[in-house]
Amino acid sequence: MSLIVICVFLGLALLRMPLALALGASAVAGLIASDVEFNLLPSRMMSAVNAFPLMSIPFFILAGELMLKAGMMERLIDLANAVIGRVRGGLAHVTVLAGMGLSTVSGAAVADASALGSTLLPSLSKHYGMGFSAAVCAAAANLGPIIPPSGAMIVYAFMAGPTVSVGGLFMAGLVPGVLLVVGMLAMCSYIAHKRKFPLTGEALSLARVLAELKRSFIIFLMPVVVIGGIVGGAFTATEGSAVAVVYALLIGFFVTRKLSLADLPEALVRTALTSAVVGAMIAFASVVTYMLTIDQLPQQLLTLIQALTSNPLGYLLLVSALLFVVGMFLESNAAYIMLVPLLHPIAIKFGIDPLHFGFLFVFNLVIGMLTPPVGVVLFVICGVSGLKLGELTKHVWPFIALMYGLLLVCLFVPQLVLTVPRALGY
Amino acid sequence: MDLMHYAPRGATGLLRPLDRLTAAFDVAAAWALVVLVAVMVAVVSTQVALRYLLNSSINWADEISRLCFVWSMFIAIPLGLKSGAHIGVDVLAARLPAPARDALARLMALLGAALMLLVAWEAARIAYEQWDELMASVDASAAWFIVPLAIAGVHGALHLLWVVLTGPPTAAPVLLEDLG
Repeated sequence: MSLIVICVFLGLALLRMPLALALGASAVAGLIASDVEFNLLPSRMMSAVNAFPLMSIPFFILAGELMLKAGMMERLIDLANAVIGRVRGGLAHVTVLAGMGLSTVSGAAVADASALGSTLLPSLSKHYGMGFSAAVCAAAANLGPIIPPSGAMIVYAFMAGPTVSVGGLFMAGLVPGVLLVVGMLAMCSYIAHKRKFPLTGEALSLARVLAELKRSFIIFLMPVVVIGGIVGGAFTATEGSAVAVVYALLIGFFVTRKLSLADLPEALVRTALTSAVVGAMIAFASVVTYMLTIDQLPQQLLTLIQALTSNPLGYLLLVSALLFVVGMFLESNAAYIMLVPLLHPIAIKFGIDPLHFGFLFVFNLVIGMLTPPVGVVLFVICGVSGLKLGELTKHVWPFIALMYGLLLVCLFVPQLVLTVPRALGY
Repeated sequence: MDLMHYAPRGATGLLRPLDRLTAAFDVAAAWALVVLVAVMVAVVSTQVALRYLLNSSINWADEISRLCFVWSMFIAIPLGLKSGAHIGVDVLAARLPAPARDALARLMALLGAALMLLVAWEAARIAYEQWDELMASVDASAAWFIVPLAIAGVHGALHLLWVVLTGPPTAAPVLLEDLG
């Protein structure tokens, strides 16, 4: 029966049926094949979505959207400009730092790509050409789901079940996220010197840095309150994300005063639509997962993998190779929803730390958003820049190589991922 | 595409009733989403505020916020179908000639419509059978949790039937945000 479910899903997905509906149709095929009543379909769909932790998905999306409407990008760019000063390739550095700042508020690479691309690409491309500029925006946007908060980590933790806490996974991304920022800055410096990019920005001034820090303080207080509250146990991830929405509303209405009541209905509907894309997949996939479980597919998969390797590191490398390929062809949320319930329990059986495995899983698929032919961040940046996919890919590959390099380092040195969560009691 | 202003596409003849009915569903769903997401934010943040400021809590906060969330997830699915927001794999279909691509899109939409109608029918049956069961914290039927599936099933099927009858939309998807 598992074979029927998988074949129907793959067949329909390849014929361009939306993945959520393809999952639903394959679930129906499974119900027919195993003679189970159809009423299982809506009841499991409802149960899958009827979960308090999942509510943090729309809340973090809404908070990010409101912060952008409230004009946080301008303040972040001004701060990054002041911190970087006058250096070769300065604007590229500013983009990376702005991406880091944005990622502490938003947890989504695609939204960040849209924000960074639309605000920074015009001035970046004037100095460095469109190819490199677009690549920097794409790479900086990919920090979104790695540095907390992260929508991808919320989905992963939900699909993995009680062995993974959202707060722990958020903290697992902290050190690798900072290392990635440092690596990207070094990469920008290297390319800027090699291609003799002009000096940009104003001379470094402590007074200006302090002034910009003061202006942006209110933005950076948000992740401190929200992530600090979640990690410190003051509130759950869902409550923290709701606090983030209220915080963003207060900033937009009373501090920057760029938000108006008229902006809210569209922001709320957009939030619900974006969340429902994931929600629909979770709902339909829950029926598929149930069908595969009663057919004992996870156990069969475990036996198969144990025949291939008995080494935890071997399993990690095997999964990394699988996700490398999956990330090229499948949208990341679809991959979490379909693969985490199968691969995460096996990692636990191998004795791999759930936070280590979870972070590597998320990081791998986040990089997949930058790899053709299906790389959603590339698509967004192509749309903003007007570049063809192939042209953008030519410029973005050094950043992809950097990310895969860091992924391998994190795979072999779990302390990089686990030190912060362990120190905080996860 | 304005996410708040859904209007009929101006169809004539036999398609007109389907066009108008779908647009009416769209408008109702969009405004329902505004209310549902706003209530979710208000209830959850109020709960946090009450806990820390007044050392008290609302006993129905968890259940009602979840109810709003379930409704918002399912009610939004058909609007996602309309705007092309739901993710699909284009690798194979994009290589087909235009007439074959059009026929394939109609066939997939027909299968999708059948699935959505099945969900709607089964959800309506469950809601009817469970109508007397009450929620844990509120004096209301627990079946309200399953009702949005019936509504979303019908609404989604209407959008998919539109594609079956008129072909796939030519415009690019309007939603780029996702959780990445």
